[in-house]
Amino acid sequence: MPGPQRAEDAQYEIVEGNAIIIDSAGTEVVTLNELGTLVWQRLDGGHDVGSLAGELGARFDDVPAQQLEDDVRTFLKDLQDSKLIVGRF
Amino acid sequence: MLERQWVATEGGSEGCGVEVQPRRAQGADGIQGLVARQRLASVSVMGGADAVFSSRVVDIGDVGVLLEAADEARHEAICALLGALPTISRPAGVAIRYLIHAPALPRREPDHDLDGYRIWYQNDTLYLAHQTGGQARVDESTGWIGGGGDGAVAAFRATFHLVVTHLLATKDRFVLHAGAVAGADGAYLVFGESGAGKSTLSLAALESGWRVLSDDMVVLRQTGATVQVAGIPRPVAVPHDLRPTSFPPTWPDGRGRVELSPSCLSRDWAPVTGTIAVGHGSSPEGALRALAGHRALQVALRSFASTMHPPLLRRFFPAAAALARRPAWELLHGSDTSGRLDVASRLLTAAETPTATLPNRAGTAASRRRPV
Repeated sequence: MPGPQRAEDAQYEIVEGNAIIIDSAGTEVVTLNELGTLVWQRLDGGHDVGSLAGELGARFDDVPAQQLEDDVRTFLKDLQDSKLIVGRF
Repeated sequence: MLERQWVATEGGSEGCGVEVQPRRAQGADGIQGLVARQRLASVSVMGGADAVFSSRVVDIGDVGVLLEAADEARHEAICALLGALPTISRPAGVAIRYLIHAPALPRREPDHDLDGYRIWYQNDTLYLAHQTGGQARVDESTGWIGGGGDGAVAAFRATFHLVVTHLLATKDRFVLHAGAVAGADGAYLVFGESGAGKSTLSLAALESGWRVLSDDMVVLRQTGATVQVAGIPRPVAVPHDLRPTSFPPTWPDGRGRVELSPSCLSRDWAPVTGTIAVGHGSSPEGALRALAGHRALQVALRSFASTMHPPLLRRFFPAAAALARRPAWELLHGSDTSGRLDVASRLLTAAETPTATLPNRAGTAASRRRPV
């Protein structure tokens, strides 16, 4: 089953390590921090929550894996509510 | 029947850069007569049969823009704002027609109601009403402006910016509410709301030997990662108490400001090397701070009047991001009026030769900002 991926109409640009996204309605600009941007760039349908959290774990080895997964899931839910991503996670 | 027509001449210098040449209209069977009838028929759809009093083509952002006025008052209104633009012989790509009768507006609540403007979008057509009485309808190639009664100058000033922004964005030319000052390496865009100090910085730049492309309205074009800017020459209005020395003011503009002739502006294109967001500081020495890229992007988006229309916002977005990848600064003017020009000049020089570091932008949560 494909993982979450960026919505086709979510236009974005990377500026100094931050993803800046225009939502599907074209009425709101969403700015992600550097970690959010790291996840956003991997939302191609080929990564599930576990693999996304695993990549973050390589940067934060003192954070429990479960906490990273929870954080990623919360972040994806936020993106989903804004219709910036599609697919299950 | 006599039809008054202002015939364009290249580089003309009389009045609004055009010469007056009344000419006799052709008979109804001639080609000119046919053209005239078609034009009147199409204009009458807009709410009244407005004749053409003056007509000329000017260059704005490499696009030929036909400026047409229905009577002398509207002609003078166009001249007051855009008289510094020379007439060109190239065909027009878009048209702005200033009519006596106001274009009809949609019979529903506006999509946006802000700063004295009511704005509707219907498919890709912009409808606009301003508190001066000026109204406009703009499709992808023509903007019709009308209304305003005896206040033709105020109505045109109020509507032109949104009309030309919408028209040129369809040609990938992006009109911004911003100034532009150019040094040896390229130009800085100067962002700020009205009264924030764009004109003050422009005047400081002029007096320091920089070139100024505009203090208030510019147009961008993008080729790959390269973004270039040109000014739309209008009179430069500066606070009267700044007392410019090198460029003496010509006349008061009624807002406690004096206007400098647009002849002090440079008319060439310049590559954009950075952006500056201006404001007023609380200390006499002012301040210069680095601005994070995503903040610079938000500032750039806010300066684009068509941000409210999603298709045009999407069109401008890559150019805005390209701007935001360049060095960006927040420049706060000094609080002491008498020394403000010197402070602005010093801060501008500091921006050109930066030693400051970008602020730490680490955060934990996604943040949302409405573009308007």
